[in-house]
Amino acid sequence: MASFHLMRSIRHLPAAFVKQGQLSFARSCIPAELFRPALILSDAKYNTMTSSVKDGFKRNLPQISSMPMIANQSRLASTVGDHVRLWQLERTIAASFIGLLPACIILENAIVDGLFGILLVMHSHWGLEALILDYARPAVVGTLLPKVLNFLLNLISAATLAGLLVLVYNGPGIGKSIKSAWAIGKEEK
Amino acid sequence: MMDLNSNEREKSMTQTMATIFPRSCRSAVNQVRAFHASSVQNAEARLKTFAVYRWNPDQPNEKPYMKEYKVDLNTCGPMVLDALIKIKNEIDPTLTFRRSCREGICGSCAMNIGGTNTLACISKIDSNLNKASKIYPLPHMYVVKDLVPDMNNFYNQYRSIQPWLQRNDVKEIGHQQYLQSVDDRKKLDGLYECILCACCSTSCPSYWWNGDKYLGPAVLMQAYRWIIDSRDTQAKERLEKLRDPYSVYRCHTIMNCTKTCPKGLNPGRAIAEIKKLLGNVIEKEKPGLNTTALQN
Repeated sequence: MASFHLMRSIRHLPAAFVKQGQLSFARSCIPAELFRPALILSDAKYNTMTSSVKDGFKRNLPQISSMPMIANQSRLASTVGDHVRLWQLERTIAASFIGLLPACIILENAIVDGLFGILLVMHSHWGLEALILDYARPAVVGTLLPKVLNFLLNLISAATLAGLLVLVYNGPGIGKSIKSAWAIGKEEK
Repeated sequence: MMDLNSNEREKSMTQTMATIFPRSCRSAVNQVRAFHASSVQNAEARLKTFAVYRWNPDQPNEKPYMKEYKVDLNTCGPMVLDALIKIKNEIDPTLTFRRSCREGICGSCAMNIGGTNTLACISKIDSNLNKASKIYPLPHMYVVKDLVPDMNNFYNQYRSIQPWLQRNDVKEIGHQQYLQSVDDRKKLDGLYECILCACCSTSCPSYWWNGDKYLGPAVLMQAYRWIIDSRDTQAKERLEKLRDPYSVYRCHTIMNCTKTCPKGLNPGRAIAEIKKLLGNVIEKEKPGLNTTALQN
């Protein structure tokens, strides 16, 4: 029984890879821990549980079995895995902006600017990714749209990062750009 | 027993009153009482409109609709549940809803009243007669009939967190109690009071969108309640099950759960504590007392 579920989980793995890859460039390069056998086994346990739960659900409510049921959706491959590291990283980066944003504006330093640009893109990427996960669910909009949106998100994030780095390397830098944006109205006077 | 006693007391009181007051005085009292009773019956009817969500599974082709009922508030109890029961008794016996304790402790009558998830039995009827009171089932749940939502997914999620005391050193069950310090017990306050009415979970957008994989505030608060129980030794195993991207981490700290909770609890905080425990920001404290001191 256990080995059957292990096999099943292993079959899910490529899907997990693809899904993780789509989800985020940062997420896919996060830990190899995703594929620890212990975690896979625990997932297999979860699968057995959901299937028994499913049966119970049908038995309880035969008269409305024709409607689509939340409990019938099997847990997707993306529910496998460990989100804790990513959460720590997200929180750390969000907290770092408290100091980093003023520093970026005050110091006008290329290294601080570059760091700020990279972290800012990661931060916004995760935020927009959460939007896609919440609002473009495969069960509602089909499997294609989320993939397209994730691709677009990667494109936008990459373009933003490239643009910010161009500002740092070839332009006035991020801090200086913000300041000159503030000065736009004043120059006209 | 109680009734008998109070009857006896009343009898003896009337007897004393009869000896104290003259007959005319007693009739005056009776007149005043009759006047008060009639004022309620004779007053102009205060008709309040209730717009109630209706859907009948036996007529699947008919779309859900809002049906309006007019209830005289003078002859109705103060709470929305009183009005619903009155409608079912006197106007429309086909109206279907869940109710049991009528005092906010069972969680059966959770529904969306005037845009807020709450318990019908402890939410007062809005006395503004010009506005209809709108009553819907809990949002984003499958409807079984009228105001009755399908709670199976919710209960199955609750089952999945294994909401019972677990120890890795059980010798003999039911032999001696486990010890818990007063401070450790205090940690459970604000958690154990949850009645699982699902008002919070069904007010959470994340639960609306990902209710199949995200456990939702009510279930997560109970998960936290067992994780931090000083008598439970399986905190690590419990947390291990919550590490995936969906079970806990779909919580975006919107705090609708805390805002809507009819029992005044704070599921949002419990989820934040789970995230801190998972992320090694805090650790579960050691029990204040030797839990198994009596287990020899």
